[in-house]
This record gives sequence, structure tokens and C-alpha cells, in this order.
Amino acid sequence: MERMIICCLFFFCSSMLLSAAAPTKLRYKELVKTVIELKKIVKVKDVEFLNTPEDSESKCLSSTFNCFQNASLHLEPANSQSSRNFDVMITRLRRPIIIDTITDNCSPCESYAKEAPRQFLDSFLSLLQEVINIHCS
Amino acid sequence: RQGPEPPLYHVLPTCLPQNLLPFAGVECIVFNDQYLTCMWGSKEMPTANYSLYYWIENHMPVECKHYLQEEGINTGCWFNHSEIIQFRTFYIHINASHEGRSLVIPTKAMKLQDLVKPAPPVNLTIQNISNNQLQLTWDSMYNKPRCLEYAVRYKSNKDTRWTHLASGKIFSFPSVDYEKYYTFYVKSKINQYCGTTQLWSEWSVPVFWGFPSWSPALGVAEKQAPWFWIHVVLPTASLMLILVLVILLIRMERVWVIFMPRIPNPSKNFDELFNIHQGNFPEWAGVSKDVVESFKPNYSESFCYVSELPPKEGSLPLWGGHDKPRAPPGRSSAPASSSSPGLILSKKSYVGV
Repeated sequence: MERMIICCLFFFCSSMLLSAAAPTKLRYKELVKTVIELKKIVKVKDVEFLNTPEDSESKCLSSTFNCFQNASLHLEPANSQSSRNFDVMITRLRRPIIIDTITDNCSPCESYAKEAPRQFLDSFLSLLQEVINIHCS
Repeated sequence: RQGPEPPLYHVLPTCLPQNLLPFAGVECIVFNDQYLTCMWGSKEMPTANYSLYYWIENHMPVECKHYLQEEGINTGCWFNHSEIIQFRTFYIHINASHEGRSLVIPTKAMKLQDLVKPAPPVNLTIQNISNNQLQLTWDSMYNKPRCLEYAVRYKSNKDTRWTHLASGKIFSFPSVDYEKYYTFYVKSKINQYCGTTQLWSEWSVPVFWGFPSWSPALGVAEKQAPWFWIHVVLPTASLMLILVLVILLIRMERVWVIFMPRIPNPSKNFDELFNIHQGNFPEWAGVSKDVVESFKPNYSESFCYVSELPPKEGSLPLWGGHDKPRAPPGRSSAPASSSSPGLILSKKSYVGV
């Protein structure tokens, strides 16, 4: 019985280690899918424009990412039917993620120009694609 | 950027020549991450001097180093690999001047990672991994294969339309029909994780599956074959055979005998001889009575007696003394009561004397 428990624990720990070894790639891919889905159900008319980081330097990817995460809280769903799904997506977007870049001397989020939600999500998608290009190549 | 691009040519001053009007816009494509071309014209384009400047944020504009020309007019720009900057807004600006007047064409901003057109896949290979399952694999010429998604189109020789399917790195074809001849093509595109584009590569060189006899050309030949056999070969062969047989029958008695055996059957002809005439051949044969009578013996002959003379007494035996049959020495004088063959022989010889 004890051996069985030890085996199960070993299996559990191994699978945890394996999943932890390559989590970021899957996480980024999940975020890409989420942003693409959000573009379909986001409200585009009569909405607040958001500070949209553009052309940020590679060393500031983490800071830029945080800007997008924070600003995404102001996005709104196009209709009430999709609001629950929408909230789930926003929560998923705002979940912390480790991007190992320096955050010093990066532009503050407020310094970026405000853009419409679609434009904002396009820029977010572009940032995610850049992160994938850097981290997964 | 997605969505419709703003028109490049907003307001045209009326003083500009009419032939400058149809400026369609500029189209940039990054070919397989190797080089970038931006084209803005064709043969129908107005004659003007065009120049292209490009830059990224916080950098000075640079003029195009390699213009592409058509009939002496700059119609495009070619950028080498080092000039391609992805994940930054890439700006291009085109100046057009005609007879000293310049045309204002708005600057175009783009993200080059969204304009990548990969090279078509190469080395398409088909493996028959089980009874009815095919596996199509290929190589990609793009330096980041994980950034690619693929589409496969296939058609058999009996299909009229192509079947298009999205695919991963390997395409599995679950149920193959062995009586068909398949053609497969593959193309690739940058996936959503590496760029936002709808630019597909060209279709690859096709790969075929099926035995050569299933090929369309041979299929037609196969369909024609029964007609050919029934209507041409068989009648000709039959005619030839009949002709040969006729010639053989005429020319060779032996063959004629094989087909028409001449074995006599006299039973019918001789029925009367045995049943009515009781085997009387002359009667049956219709020989006249006179002739029959003439065959009968009508003469008499006196008997002549012949007799053999009896042998004389004391005549010499047939054999000489030395020719006598030898008897065992000790028994020559013994009484002739023994049953030995030698003695019988000698006895006989004596009897015979």
C-alpha cells in the first residue's frame, strides 16, 4: 500500500514538473486564442478608448504586457448574452504570467496613445506574437 | 493591421495630369522571411518618377536601395533580409513626381510579420502506414516551421472537385480506395501565433498515389480494352482460325480423316446374306445356277493305295558304335530295371533298333 502511494506521488510530481517545464508556450497560445475570440465579442461603439502600447522595445515586453493586462479591464462585451463568456476571457487575460525582461526605464502605460478596442486588441495580439517569437524560437 | 486600409490617394489636385490618377496603392509581401518586395504599379501605371522611403519608429527614413523597374519606371522596391524588421511598425512613403509636380501619397504603416508568404512545402512523401491509411509528409522551406499551418487538397481520378482540408505537420488520409489514383497538393501559411495573415504560399508540386495502371491515361486505355478485344481481335482471330482449318482440310487428307473418319460399317450391307440367304454367298451375290453348277465336282477317281515298307531284321542301328549314348561305366551291364533317365534313354535306343 505504501509503495502504491509513493508511486502515485512520484507520478504526480513528475507530471507537475513536466507541465511546469513548458507552461509559458501553451499559456501564450491560450492568450492568443483568447484575444482573437475577444475581438469578435468586444463592444466597439460608444466605448472608452484605451492606452495602447505600440512599438515598445523588446526589453520592455513585460511592462507592455502589464499595461495590456490592466487596460483590458476596461473592455466591454458587445451584448449582455456574451458577458459571462467575456468575463471569463478577461480573467484569463489578466492571470499573471512570467516574462523575464527588465521593467526599468520603460514608458508608463499612460504615455501610449489611446486607441479603439479593436485596435487595442490587435496591438495586444501583436505583442503576444512577438513574445512567442522570442521565447519559443 | 487588420481591416481595410485607408485609401492612399485621398485628394488629388485638379492641376495634376489625369494619367496619375489610377495609383492603386502599394502591396508588400515578405517572401519566406528572406526578402521583402513592395510593388505599387503595373504597365498601366502613369509615367512618373517614383521613389520609396521606409523607416521604423524613432529612425530616419531611408530610400529604397533596389528599385524594381518596368520599362524604365520604378514600380517596386526589393528589400534584403537585413532590412526586414518584424514586430515594429514599418512605414513606407512613396514620392511621385511628374514634370516638376509632385504627388502626395500618404504614408503606409504595416507590421511585416503579418505580410509573410512562406515558400511552398517541398519533398512531399506518401507512406502507406496500414491497409487503408495513407500518411502524407513534407518539408518546409520556412526557417520557423512551428509558425506554419498547412492545407492539403486532394482529388482522385474519379472525383471532379478538389477536397480541401486543414492539416498539421502530417496529413493522414484514413480511407484510401485502391482502385483510385490520387493527387495531393500542400500549401502553408503563417499561423495565428506568429502573425495575422491570410497569405498562403503557392501550392506545392503535386504528389501522386496509386499504381500506374490507375493513372487517368491508362484508365481510358483499360476502358477501351474490352471493346477492342470483342470487336476487333476476336473476329479476326476466329476468321483466321477458320481459314487455316479449311486450308488444312483441303490440303491434308490426314487432317480430313481426323475430322471425318472413314471406318466401314458392313453390318447393314450384309444383313440379307445372313438372314435371308443363310450365308449362301453365290445366291446372295446373284450368281447364275449354271455357274454354280459348274463349280460342283462331277468327276470320279480310282483310289491309289500307298503303304510303307516294314524295316529289315539285323540292320545297323542308326547310330555308330562310338555314337551310342554313354552309360555310367559301372552300370552298363546292369539290368534295365532302374528308373534313371540315362537308362531309359539307352533302353529306348535299343528299342528303337
